[in-house]
Amino acid sequence: MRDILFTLILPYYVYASIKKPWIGLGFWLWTSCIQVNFLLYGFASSFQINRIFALTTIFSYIIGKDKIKMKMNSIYFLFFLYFIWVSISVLISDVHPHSLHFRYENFVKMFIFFIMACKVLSKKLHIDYVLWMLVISYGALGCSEGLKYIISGGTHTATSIRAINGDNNFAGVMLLTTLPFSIYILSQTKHKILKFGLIGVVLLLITGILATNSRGAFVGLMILGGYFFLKSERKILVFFIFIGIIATAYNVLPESWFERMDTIENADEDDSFMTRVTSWKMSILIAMDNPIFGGGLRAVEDLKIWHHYKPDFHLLSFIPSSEPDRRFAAHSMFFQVLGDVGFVGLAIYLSLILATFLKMGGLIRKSKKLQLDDWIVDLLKMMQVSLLVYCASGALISAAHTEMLFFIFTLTYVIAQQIVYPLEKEIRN
Amino acid sequence: MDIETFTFMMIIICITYLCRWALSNDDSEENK
Repeated sequence: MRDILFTLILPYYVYASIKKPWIGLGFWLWTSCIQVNFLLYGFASSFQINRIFALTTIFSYIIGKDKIKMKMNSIYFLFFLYFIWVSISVLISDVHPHSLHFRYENFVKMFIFFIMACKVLSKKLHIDYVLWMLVISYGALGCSEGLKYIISGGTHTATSIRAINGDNNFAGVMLLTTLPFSIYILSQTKHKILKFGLIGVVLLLITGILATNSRGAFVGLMILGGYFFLKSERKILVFFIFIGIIATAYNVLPESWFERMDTIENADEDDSFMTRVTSWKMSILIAMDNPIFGGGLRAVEDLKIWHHYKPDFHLLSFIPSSEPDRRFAAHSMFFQVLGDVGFVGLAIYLSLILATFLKMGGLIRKSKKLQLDDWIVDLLKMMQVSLLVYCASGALISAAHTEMLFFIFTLTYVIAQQIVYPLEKEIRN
Repeated sequence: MDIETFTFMMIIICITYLCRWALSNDDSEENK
């Protein structure tokens, strides 16, 4: 039934994508963030849905009249530089070609998405639309997990969400990063019923995040809560809301959940954490050997590379960890980048994140000074907190190159170049 | 209907509605 429904509705989506490239971009984002194919079980599961929307968006842009010329700014420059760095690293990498090409292809797709998004998004309408797409994509999956969690009385664990290409930790971070965008969408919605629905989405998303049992996502959730408390003008009200949520969660969450979260305090005794340290040490060894370009995308996951650096493991014996008997994923976006593209690549990557964060801060100040519309400031604040929790939680998972992170870079570029700067120019003239 | 099918249907309904909304909107207005 799902396949038939999707096949019937697909031509309408394609028509809309060709009609307006920014609509196509929303579909592109939707199918990049979640694996729609995984939700289909019949003939439609073999459709190259993401490719269809990528091509229709590019086609629509080419035949369209509105062509936005990209202007250089710090985000664009650093992202482009990082793209070149990754490309060189891939060229000289010893990672198995099959895995390497797959990873690089995904990276290139994300970069093309960045370029296209910068070329077609230029208005609040466009931005709101793609944010709705993002919230629907991750929000629906998060709500579904939240519902399962409530129905099962807290025994359900979202070990892996079918349409999200990653484990529970990855899913937890994606849902967590979507949360501030949902709050932004909620603040922009005037329709009463829709507003109630969105409040439900936000609450179920939080439940969905708890259902992932991810410690990284839980830490991110605490940061998010702290941020809202500090930034809120009605601190007492927010405080009582938090107390209410914590009291409910305390009574509802199962013992196993608390036991898992308790391991955060005793990380050095936790096997799962110590294997992460092993993986981080391996990433450091790869970077020490290839400080400029690193070992190539996901080098630490390559069996041949892991065995190559295993004899050097004693060089970092002053850092306690388990033995490198088995290979693991990088388990940290920063160590992942370190192993993938070396110390120089990591410096570019960190500069890109920092530049994006600072740009958001600068845009908030500028928007307030110029008394621009509230939505700009509201969105930038939510993006800032999204990036913050992404980096905090991503420090414990291999999520260096994801659509979500690159989307935050894209959105910052678009708000700066297409919204705030033109409005500033208009006001000054 | 299982919860996964329900989620899928909700996604499709919401996205189709959003698509219709986007198509019917005039995006020639300037940013405020």
